[in-house]
Amino acid sequence: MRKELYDMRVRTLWMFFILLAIFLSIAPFHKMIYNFLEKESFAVQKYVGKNFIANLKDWKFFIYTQWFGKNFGQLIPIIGLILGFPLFSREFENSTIEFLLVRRTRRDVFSSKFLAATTMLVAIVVFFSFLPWIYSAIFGKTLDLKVCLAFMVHDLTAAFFWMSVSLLFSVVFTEQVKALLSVLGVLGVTTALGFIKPIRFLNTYRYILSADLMRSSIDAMYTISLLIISFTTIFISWKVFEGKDI
Amino acid sequence: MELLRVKNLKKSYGELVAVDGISFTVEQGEVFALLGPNGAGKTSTIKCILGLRKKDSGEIVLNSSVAYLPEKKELYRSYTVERMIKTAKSYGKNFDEKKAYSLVEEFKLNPSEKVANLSHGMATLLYLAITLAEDVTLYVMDEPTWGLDPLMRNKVLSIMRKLSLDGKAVLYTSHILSEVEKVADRVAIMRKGKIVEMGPLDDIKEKYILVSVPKGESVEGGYFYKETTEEEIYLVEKATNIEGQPASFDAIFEALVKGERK
Repeated sequence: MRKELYDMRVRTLWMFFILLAIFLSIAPFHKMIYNFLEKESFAVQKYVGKNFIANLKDWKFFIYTQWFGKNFGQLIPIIGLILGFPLFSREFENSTIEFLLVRRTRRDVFSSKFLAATTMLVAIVVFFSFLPWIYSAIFGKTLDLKVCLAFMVHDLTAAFFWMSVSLLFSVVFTEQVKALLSVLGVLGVTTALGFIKPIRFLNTYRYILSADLMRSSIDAMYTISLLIISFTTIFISWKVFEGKDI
Repeated sequence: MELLRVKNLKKSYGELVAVDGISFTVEQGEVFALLGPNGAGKTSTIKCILGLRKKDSGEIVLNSSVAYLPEKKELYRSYTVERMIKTAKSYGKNFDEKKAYSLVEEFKLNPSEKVANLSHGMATLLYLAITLAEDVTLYVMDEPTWGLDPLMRNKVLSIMRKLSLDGKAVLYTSHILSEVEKVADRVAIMRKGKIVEMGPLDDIKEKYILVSVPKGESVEGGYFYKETTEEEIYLVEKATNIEGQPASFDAIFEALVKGERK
């Protein structure tokens, strides 16, 4: 697994620093952002509601909506996607998969890649879910740990789901660009279709950015469904990889 | 001792039959060359043996540990030579790191050089170093000397020869017939997925002669080799009633893979 973690270092570090930069461009500027939006509240409130700007004065509301509910939340599927799509397609594309498969069993290769990607995914999502809480503790602000945990559960589940979808395309396609475009296509189509009420469950952003999380209320049904689909997708990916001609 | 036995192996890709019921064995202490033109089925055969491709039918019995040098010598381009060796060590079960470094030195490769900066020949040498550092009984090599300069090619051939003398076996493919004649104990010539000739090199050379006939005539059962302005030359099996010239291995190979039989 060491090689897999080493191979993911650049992607993971880039994601880490980008997310950190986004957080540091939001959290320390709470008052500044609030004052700016308050001045423009007349123009903004027709899009976000009357009380939204006023609520932003509250640090908790600000972090829940601007970090979990916006910047970090919107990137959750992308994190899963970036970690998942090159796992196998890059090895196929570069013809390096033979190097691995003559030295290890397919089961070993598949599990080490999957575990490495999952480890990185968990590390990133957990760290950036707790970062606001750590920041609050350092700067004497208060944040509800339960709410952070609730967001973390949704974010982890959704990121894991999108990583599993990316993994499937990564196993199916022998070119990275095809795997990436396919999973981006699925993300775009499901998100767009999710705007149609009867099939709104297709839009995973509704789950990731759910306002109910601010009351630390986890959507257990959707979480379990996503996890079942994720593990089924991973199993299908394994079966495809197991029978794939190299 | 039989290290590998392939029996009636078949492999197709849709309508295309890549390997069509071939059988052969590789014994301990021998260099076995699998020859044939592009698309003859050599790489498919090797990949089926290694489990990289699923066979359609047939039997593959592998009684040995295996190291493999693929046709495309692709390694991790962002790695240095040193990291590549460490990765091979962490993945390989019988990997001898010291031997790998000694081969890298022998091949005049810089351990701190990035794989991306290596020429095709140097990348082949690095892959060879990694493959040969595996302490196994059967080395499977697909075009091991392709792209190497004559000095390095001879060095690699002598290493292959030494492997067989040390009781290991080598199964390899090559397009360079002169080197096959230098190192191979037995050869199998493939054409369109089938083995059309197999045996010790000297026996094969003994088996055939070249017969010249005037243009327009043919030799029964002969393989067309080439034509001159006045005659056609056929490769035929030696028989008491036919006279001809001794056939070189190049001529035997060319006539058999052309497969134009009269």
